[in-house]
Amino acid sequence: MKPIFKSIITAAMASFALGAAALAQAPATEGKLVVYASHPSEMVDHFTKMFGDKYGIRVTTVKAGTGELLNRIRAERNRPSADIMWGGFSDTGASAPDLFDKYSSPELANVEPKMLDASGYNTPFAASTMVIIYNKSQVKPEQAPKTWADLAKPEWKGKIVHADPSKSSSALAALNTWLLIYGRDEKAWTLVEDMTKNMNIILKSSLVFQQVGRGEYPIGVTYEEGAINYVLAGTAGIVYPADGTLLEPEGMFIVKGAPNPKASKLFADFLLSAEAQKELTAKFPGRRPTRMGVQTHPEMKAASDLKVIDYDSKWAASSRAEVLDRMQKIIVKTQQ
Amino acid sequence: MSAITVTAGPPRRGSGISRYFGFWPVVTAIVLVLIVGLLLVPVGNIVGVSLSAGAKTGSIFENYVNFFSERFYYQTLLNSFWVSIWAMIFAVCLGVPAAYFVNRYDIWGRGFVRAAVVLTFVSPPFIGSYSWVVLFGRSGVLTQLFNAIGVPLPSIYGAPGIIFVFTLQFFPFVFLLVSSGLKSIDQSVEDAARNLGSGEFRTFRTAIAPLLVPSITTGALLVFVASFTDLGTPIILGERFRVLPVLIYGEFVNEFGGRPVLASALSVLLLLVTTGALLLQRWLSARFSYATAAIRPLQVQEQPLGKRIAATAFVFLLIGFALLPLVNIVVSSFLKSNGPVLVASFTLDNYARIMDRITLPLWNTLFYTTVATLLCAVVGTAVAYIIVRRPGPVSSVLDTVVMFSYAVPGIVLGVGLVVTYHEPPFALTGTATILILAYFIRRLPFSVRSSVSMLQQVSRDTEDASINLGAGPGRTFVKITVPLLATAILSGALLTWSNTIRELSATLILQSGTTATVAIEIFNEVVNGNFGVASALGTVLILLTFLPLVVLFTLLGKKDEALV
Repeated sequence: MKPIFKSIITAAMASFALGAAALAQAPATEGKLVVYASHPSEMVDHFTKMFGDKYGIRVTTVKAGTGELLNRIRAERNRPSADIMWGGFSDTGASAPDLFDKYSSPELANVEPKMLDASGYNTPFAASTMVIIYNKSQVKPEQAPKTWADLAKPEWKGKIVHADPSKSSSALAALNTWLLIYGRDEKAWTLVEDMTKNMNIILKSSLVFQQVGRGEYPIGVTYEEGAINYVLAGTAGIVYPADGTLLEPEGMFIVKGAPNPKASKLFADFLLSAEAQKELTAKFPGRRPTRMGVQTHPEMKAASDLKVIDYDSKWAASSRAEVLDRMQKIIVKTQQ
Repeated sequence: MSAITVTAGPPRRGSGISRYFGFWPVVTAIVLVLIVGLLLVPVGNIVGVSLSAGAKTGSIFENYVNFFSERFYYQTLLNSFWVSIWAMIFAVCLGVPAAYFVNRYDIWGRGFVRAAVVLTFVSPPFIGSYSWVVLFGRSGVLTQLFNAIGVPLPSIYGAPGIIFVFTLQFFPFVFLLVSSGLKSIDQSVEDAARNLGSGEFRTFRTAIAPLLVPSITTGALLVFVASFTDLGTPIILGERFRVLPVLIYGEFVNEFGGRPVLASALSVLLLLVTTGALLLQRWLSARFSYATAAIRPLQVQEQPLGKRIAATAFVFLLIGFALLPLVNIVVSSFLKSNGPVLVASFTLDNYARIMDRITLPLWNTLFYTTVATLLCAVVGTAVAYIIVRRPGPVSSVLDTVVMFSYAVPGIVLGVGLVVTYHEPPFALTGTATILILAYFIRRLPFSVRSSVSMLQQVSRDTEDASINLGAGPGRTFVKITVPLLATAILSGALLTWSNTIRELSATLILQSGTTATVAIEIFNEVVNGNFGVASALGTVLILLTFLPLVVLFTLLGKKDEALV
């Protein structure tokens, strides 16, 4: 017994020595980049590898939901370990000026003017839009809802899945869209309440398109990119709502006090480059490139054919707390 | 760190510091430092944050008042009780007979059953829960199959589905603990009852079951707490049936800052319930503990054919159901995918896709789990000894506090550790050390409970003899107590290993890319809808959990008994 016990102790001691060595690691230097990303891991891996190979930079990624990552950046703000926050929407940066630095890439000159972030934080590498996804075996295309307002119809009671706007930036973008279309007044909120009554509100936005694509629910509110993979696989269809939708640039921000500021800026420039933007269309259908002259995927409705609303992102940022608070009351009221 | 190196010192020789302070007081002090630093301070920080923020609005209890005045919120607490209590009842009703049949009857395939029970334990996180939807969802594989032959299955969503999954997922706690409890009962107990004319059931009820009470209550407690704090299953199957952990997760993982005060208040409620359950269990097992020494453990008995068939069928049906998600994961890992949709043709694509990126997470997982398990075994056994053999105010506090770590949900512990250990001189976030320490503190109760259950049944005569013959307390512990507890230590280590290797919730908060584990990779793939790739990773994790255990037990030559 004794030798076994001894070896256990030795192993335990050795492991702590290793732990101590990890602790004493040299501080990060340029030539490294730490990316916190909430985008699908295949896309994150693809572009970070492409970037790393091209510039000889060792890229580390941490993948989690936008909310988890933001909380983490907040917890680490006195000693940031992240350089880049790759996720959220364009207003995420301006809404947390204590966490992020402004950056204006020279490549922004080649980006669609509509996609630029007036507050100066975002690097808009892609745009996305909110759509209705339906399961083809449960809903015929002609029966599918045509507008957001259709989701309030009694026939869809219990059949719609939607993420909680306080947990998902895309779900909040959808909620803001409905409010903007229907006037931001009591009437609009009544409609939202009627829609919510029909919905199952879940916590993870990526489960929406998965569950509809798999046939667990007939209808879902989701982002185009999530839906398109199931459209290409043949199990789901997309409705671009006739009452309008938003076309919003996605977020990529440089963390305040980033340990590798030069690599961070290089990464931002790289994502906007023609090379990366073309790769985006080719490899990741569903993401709409923002650089002028780069085409979207042929399966997707062209941006010019969408009824795009004028998304008031200033209002969205300033009224966020109020909107979420009211939505929380509706969820509390309708989801028990 | 220095405190930990000292841990290694005293058990080897009764010299050095222990010469001046005594072996057990020093060990106790070290353990207390570890627990305070890794558990109490982080949790205290979270509570502290919540209270200071609450003070701004006037009452520090504002969030509790809100919680209990709004049905949407307090209903989650009732829901959590509802599913956890039922899961606990069903797990005991299934786990105790299963353990009895496997250990007492000559049913067919006993070795297989033992291995399979351990397998059900290794269900990878998140994907295991999602698997139930793939099988029994509204468009699930089996739902459609049964619909085709005209048998509509009940919905897997809502409370019944959650209870069903929890029962199958957690009954192995009861099975394993009762199995090891049965091994410490002497055959003479049963013989005496039978000779006095009791039938089998009466013998079990009046002679054997009372001796199993510590094992059963411990198992039931583990099921209750595991169900009460589980997030993966209710987040996927709950729909409008919300439980407390889902609410907490929702408030912590909130894109817009969330409501940390409310989240902390919810966490405190969760902690109160789980701590209460643990105290109850402690009281029960103290009330019903008996010191017996199994010179000749209970024997396997031959049974009439009918009974043998019935018992085998019961056990195999139970195991079969519990293994379904694992089978689904393994099969899915070989399915071709068309975009996100799996189709019915076989391929190795999923494995090819994980090849180039699994090396680091794989190494991380193995390294962290091994070190944490060893630490748990060493520290846990010492703690168990202090609790059982050195009763007093300190040991009673220690007992409660160690159990408390089982009550702290991973996500709460993770956030607490980040808050506490982000700043120099203890800037540990993102390192391997913080993950290992988190796993250690989170799984320590497994080792402690396992050894405590056993120690309560082993009389201290042998130890006293050793002390009387002049061996020091440290030497006696290593030479006498540890060998006596070998089975319990191994089964505690087994629980620690299989639960640590799949730890997700604290890892999500504490990992930093370079310290990502296989569980993290699985989570990312399921969330992104790559069920095939996630299944391949899940299969690797299942093998990782299972194979080392088989090898270990085969090498130790105890394949049969030591597994349970």
